[in-house]
Amino acid sequence: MSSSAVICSKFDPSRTYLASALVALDTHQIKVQSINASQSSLNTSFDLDKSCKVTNLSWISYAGEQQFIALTLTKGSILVYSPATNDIVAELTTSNNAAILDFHYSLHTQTGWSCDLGGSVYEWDLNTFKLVQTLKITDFIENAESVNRISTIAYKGQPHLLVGSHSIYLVNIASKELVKTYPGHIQPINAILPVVNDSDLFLTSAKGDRFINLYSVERATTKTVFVSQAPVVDVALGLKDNKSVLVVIDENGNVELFNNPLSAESQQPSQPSTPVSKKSKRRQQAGVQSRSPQSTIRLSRPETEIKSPQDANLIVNSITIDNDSVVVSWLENSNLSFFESLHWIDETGNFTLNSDKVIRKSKPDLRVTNHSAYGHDIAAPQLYSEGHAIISDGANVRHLDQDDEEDEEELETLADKLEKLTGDQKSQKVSAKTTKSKLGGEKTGTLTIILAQSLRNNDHSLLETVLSNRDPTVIQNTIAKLDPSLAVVLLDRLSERIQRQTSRFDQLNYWLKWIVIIHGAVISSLPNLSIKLSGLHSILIKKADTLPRLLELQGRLKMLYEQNDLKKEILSEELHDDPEEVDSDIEYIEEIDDAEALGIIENGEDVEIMDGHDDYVDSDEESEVSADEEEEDDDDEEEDGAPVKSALDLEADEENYSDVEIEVNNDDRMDEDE
Amino acid sequence: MPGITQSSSSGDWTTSMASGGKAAFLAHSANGASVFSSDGRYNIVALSHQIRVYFVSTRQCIRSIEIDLVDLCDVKLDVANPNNVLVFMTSGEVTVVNWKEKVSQPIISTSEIVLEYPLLSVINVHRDSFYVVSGKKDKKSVSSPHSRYIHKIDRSTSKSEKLVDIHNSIKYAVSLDNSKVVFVTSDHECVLVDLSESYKQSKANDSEESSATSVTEPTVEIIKFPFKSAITSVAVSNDSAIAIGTSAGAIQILFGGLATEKPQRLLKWHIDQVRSLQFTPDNNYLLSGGLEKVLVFWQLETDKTQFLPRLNGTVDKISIDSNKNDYYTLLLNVSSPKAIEEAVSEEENYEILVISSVDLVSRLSINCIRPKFANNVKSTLAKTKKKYLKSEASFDKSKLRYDYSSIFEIHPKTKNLYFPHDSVIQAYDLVKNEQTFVQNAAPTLPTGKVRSETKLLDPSISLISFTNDGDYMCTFDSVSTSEIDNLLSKNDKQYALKFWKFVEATTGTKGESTNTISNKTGHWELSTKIIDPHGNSNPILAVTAAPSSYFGGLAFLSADNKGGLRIWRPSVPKDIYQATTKNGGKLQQTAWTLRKSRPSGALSSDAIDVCWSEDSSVIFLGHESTITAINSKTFEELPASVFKAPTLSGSRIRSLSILDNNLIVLSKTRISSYNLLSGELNELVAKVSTTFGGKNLIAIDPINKLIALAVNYYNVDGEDFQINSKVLVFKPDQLKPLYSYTHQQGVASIRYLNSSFIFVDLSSRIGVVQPSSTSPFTISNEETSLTRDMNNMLINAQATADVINNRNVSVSANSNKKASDGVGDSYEFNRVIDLNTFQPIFENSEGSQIDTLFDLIIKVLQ
Repeated sequence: MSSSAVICSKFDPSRTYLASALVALDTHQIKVQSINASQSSLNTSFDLDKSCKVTNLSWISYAGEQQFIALTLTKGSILVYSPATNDIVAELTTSNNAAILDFHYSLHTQTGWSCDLGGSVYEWDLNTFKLVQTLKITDFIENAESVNRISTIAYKGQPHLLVGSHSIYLVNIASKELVKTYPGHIQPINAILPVVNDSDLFLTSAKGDRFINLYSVERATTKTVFVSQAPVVDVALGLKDNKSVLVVIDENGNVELFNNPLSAESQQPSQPSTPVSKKSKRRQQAGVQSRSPQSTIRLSRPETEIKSPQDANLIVNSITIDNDSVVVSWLENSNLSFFESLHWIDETGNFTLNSDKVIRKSKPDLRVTNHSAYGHDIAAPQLYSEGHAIISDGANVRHLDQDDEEDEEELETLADKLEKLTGDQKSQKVSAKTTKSKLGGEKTGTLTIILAQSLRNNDHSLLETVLSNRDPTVIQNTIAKLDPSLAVVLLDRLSERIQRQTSRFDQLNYWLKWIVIIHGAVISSLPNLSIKLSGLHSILIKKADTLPRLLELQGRLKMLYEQNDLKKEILSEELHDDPEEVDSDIEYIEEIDDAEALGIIENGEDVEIMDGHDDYVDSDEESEVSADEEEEDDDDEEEDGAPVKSALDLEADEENYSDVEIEVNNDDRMDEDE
Repeated sequence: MPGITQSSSSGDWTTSMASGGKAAFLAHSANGASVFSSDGRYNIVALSHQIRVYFVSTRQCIRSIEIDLVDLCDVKLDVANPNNVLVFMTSGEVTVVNWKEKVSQPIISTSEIVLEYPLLSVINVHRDSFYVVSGKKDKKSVSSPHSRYIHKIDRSTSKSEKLVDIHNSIKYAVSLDNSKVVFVTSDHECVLVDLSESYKQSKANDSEESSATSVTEPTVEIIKFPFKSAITSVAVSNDSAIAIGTSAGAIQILFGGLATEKPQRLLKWHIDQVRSLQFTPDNNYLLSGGLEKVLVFWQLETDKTQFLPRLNGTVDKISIDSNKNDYYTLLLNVSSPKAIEEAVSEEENYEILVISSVDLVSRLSINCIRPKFANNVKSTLAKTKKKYLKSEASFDKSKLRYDYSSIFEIHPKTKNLYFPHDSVIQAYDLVKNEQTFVQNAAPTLPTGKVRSETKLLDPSISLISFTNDGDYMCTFDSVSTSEIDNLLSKNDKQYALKFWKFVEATTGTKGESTNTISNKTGHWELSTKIIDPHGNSNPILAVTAAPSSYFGGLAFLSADNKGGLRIWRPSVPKDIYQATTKNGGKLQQTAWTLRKSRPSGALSSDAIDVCWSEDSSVIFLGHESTITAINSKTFEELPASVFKAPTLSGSRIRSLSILDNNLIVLSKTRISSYNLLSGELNELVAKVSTTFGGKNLIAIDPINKLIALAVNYYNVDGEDFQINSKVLVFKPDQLKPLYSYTHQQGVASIRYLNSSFIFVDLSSRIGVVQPSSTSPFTISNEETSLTRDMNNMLINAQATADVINNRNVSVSANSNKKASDGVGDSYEFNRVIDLNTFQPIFENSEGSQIDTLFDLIIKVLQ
């Protein structure tokens, strides 16, 4: 049940509608659907505000036709929803923020009762939607923490509350005191069901518990214990004439039936043989009777439609008894409730469901509908779905028709056989020879034998050991010595492996290569090759298809690298340029120096400058030194590239040799740059 | 009336138009070309050539009235007589049409309103007067500022009286009660005109009969607004609230008619153009729609929004009819996103969707056929006209410069017409004249594309074919990689061949419970999808179903652009699954697998077609301009000793088909029929000029042994430059056509159905060419009187005579002109020179000089 989208669902007292609270994406949704659409059509859904999370829902039916649904929320309030108008009529808020767990409309008091996680019980006037009174259960019941379920019964002519925590307590409403306690469950109670025609009796079940207890109010004892096959989720009781039936939904989503649960004795003789009943007889002596279900109803898809375990066991999410029939509902498409009714009693008053039963329901076709039932508007386009389609590839040639298959094939198989015979003899000879002569070295020789053995005997693990060899020369030699007829088998095995794990291609590609190179001629002469090797072909094609793309990518990467290199080069040149630019300031001085040297400016001035900028000169010198170094580098390069130019440079050097060495060098470089 | 069903007959053939064309988009009108009857039970829809009346609760068309409505500007229900609708034309012509009763002459009267400017829309219809808006028409669908005038027109005298004039109006809108009109001007102002006083006055005039009182000016209020984005839509509520939609997506709300200013505000949800706006009659909600394909409901008090997403198209108009105000009528633009972006009104297809405001479930959806033409008709025709005007003398009117063909196929089982359009296939029932369904045939996003999302490309279906029994459908679609980044894969195309199984409708009488649902039409279920069907991303250019003699017809033959052939057949399910099918359980999905393959050649060409011989033993492959015969068993070419294909085409092959023992070849320049048994050309060899999609323009009737060919040509009639066409029905061995029909519009494709031919013209109408004796469909309201017949015959005869005089189409035997024909083609691909290149020259070489022969060869090589 936990995996289902349904939080809870309940039939209304008249058994015409089903209200369910569903999880719809991030909100909770209330859906009301009529069981029989032809009688009264109601199909509403209402999205609650995102802050409202439903814990439980309950039908309120008073004042005749008008029906409301009370939705108990985790935030401590109750919404009263009207399915007829599809809106919220009122919100009943408590001062407490504890989650409301149950709401019960009492016919005895004509008011609504709710209980919460904190152990408070509230009484509501449903005409004015006002709070009447609040009871704190913990005030008069010790160690009761939360109240899970609440119900009312008339006890000694006065309305009393049945409060279900882990045990059930009978509380007098008027005097607000605890009357009786009914122990019996360890788990929190999930259903309290007063028996309609006998005010002394009520049924209880608890969460995760397989037992349903039938209590007597007066005696405060368990009358009968019903043991279901799986923990109980929901309980319903049906009465017709003097017969009754108890139906239970268990955690597996199946329905279990107990016939005539109220009359303890009547069922006993019917099944004396079962060991359970023997046990129960024993229990009966102790005053408590134990009963197991008479019938289990399972809902399933027809066998042809069962594709998963879920299909074999559809989960029933709510149940009710309408007169003589049991109505169950389940979900299709995980949001539409479907219904099925079964007769539990026939006209003569006999129980009809005495044995286990499987109801087969095929999946309804909810695809295209007339106008817009169930969410598909006729005006909407039919969506594309490849969920049920087979998807293949154009390279898949496995199903290629074989040309004039039959005659040829028979002939060929015969030829094959002949070939094989001769092949075997040959290979034996060859292997004998190899072992004798030890032509290719011991290792490859043995590998060939192992390979041949593994192929003949279809020994996959042995083949794996051979194929794990990665040495290209070993592989080449092994295949060279392999019998050609086995080469085809090997090729087949290889293609099978590659197809299964494409990642192994790297390992196996040497094998493939050498088979094709060495035994290519033999293989190509075989008929129907294209079909046999279609799988291999398609994989190789697929792998080869990526080559142009990879080459393109390689080209681009190369281009990027080269661009990067070029950038680096340019950058480094710029770096070279930088000192020059620093030089430019210095150059100015150098020019002055030059001028000085030429005698345009007087020496005295120069000296002044020199004096004033001592550091400057130093740095100047340093830079000049570095410039020299660079120049040497440059020269080296030039020697590599263009030796002619360097010769010219040499000439120039000689020309200017008369001047101061360093300055000349600088000049020279200036020229080059220009 | 010129617009009456064009039906002509000559000999024992007749042609009639079977559909009413497209739904009109009325740019200025408040309603989307449809009005509700006064009781709200009928919806009257104006299509381009028809008025259709739908009964809303059954969704059935109960009546159709033939009327030419190309020039339509507005449709209104007549207040004076609710059985009549008033149809207003831009020219000012007003036609009164009786839609209710089945009468022989539904068109009651026609009157003329004389105004200075064309009529744009009708604001209100009173018992004795119309209130209309006139002004210059927008040149393109983009709104530009113009002057608009509100006139009151007396119905009996047609006297017009100008009430208001507004300058530089970009858009205007009318409130639902017709009392308020708002104009948005280019000065960022809203001009709110309140006509309620004028209405009162005119009513007062009615009662008192005192026409002497002068008309008071309607109250005009000007409201400025600050937001300066381009205005794309506007709406005004009954209580003078104004909503202005912008191209940026924000909706601006202004309030008029107030003593104290209410704050203006912006509603932000749309992220692209707001195409349409409408207030609900109770003024509480604003409805807006745009490119997102979402209908947005704004509760104006709280600014809360609700959405109706995933509509079929962009919401271009929202209207609420005063007679049925709990229904919203949406005009959805279902054209491809590209067409919407370019805003080519001619190419746009609209769906009229009526939804209930209560449950937002569709009540009515009206669709017309959506053929996808290879080229935009209007814009290319304008270009061609320019070319023509430049060189009138040398212009060849018989040779179309652009391909206008479209693909459609007829499903043999349901007789539905299937129109592939981008990634969807539309099935159209010709008998009911209704769309049956739309099937998405490739994965696409159902949401609308906005802004840069339009760059994302949808798959497009280029081929569709059915097996002869109609159980299987084969489609081929391709997806180009979207231009997201300059990736290596940017030029890649993904191809997929899909095989669909037809699942018949099951009558839902399983008696399970009330929830059992039956569907009536049946649907397609994808059974196999083959990715890259011809490997190495070779596109398939032709798919044909096998004849029934080949494995019961359960096979498809596909041909790629390099002449590679492949046969696909369903594979037999394995034994395990067969057992379950016997039990009546669900059928195992059929896998279609490749059974035979013929490798591709080197020459890549888009002129490819294949056909089967009737006994399925031979496959003919036309590739570029050569025809090869291939043994369907061995898949090897038949040796020249068995079959030697002559040069039948003389140019690039458009289509190959087999009729009896004749091979019918349609090439770029000619149609020829070749008798395979005698090895000779039949008499039927004629020169035609076909465009790239020529294979859509030829259809074969295998039972009566007939060929139908549609030939398009340019027709110049004074200022009008348009495409006309001729539908010719031939016998394979006779040059003289059995029947010839001239159509005043180009034909996009023609197909065979039940011994008649069905064609689709460029205005998206369906025509039926049928022998008089048989009729595949009973066409409703076919009460053609003798005089009308005569009239039509005269018109057609005149048109035919014109055509012959102009020599637009020269149907003549020209077996001795072949050489020159074959040479004149321009090829846009790398041509491989082989024997076939030269063969036409040598065919007629007897007696010619060596020099001239040499010249010819040089010419070919050039």
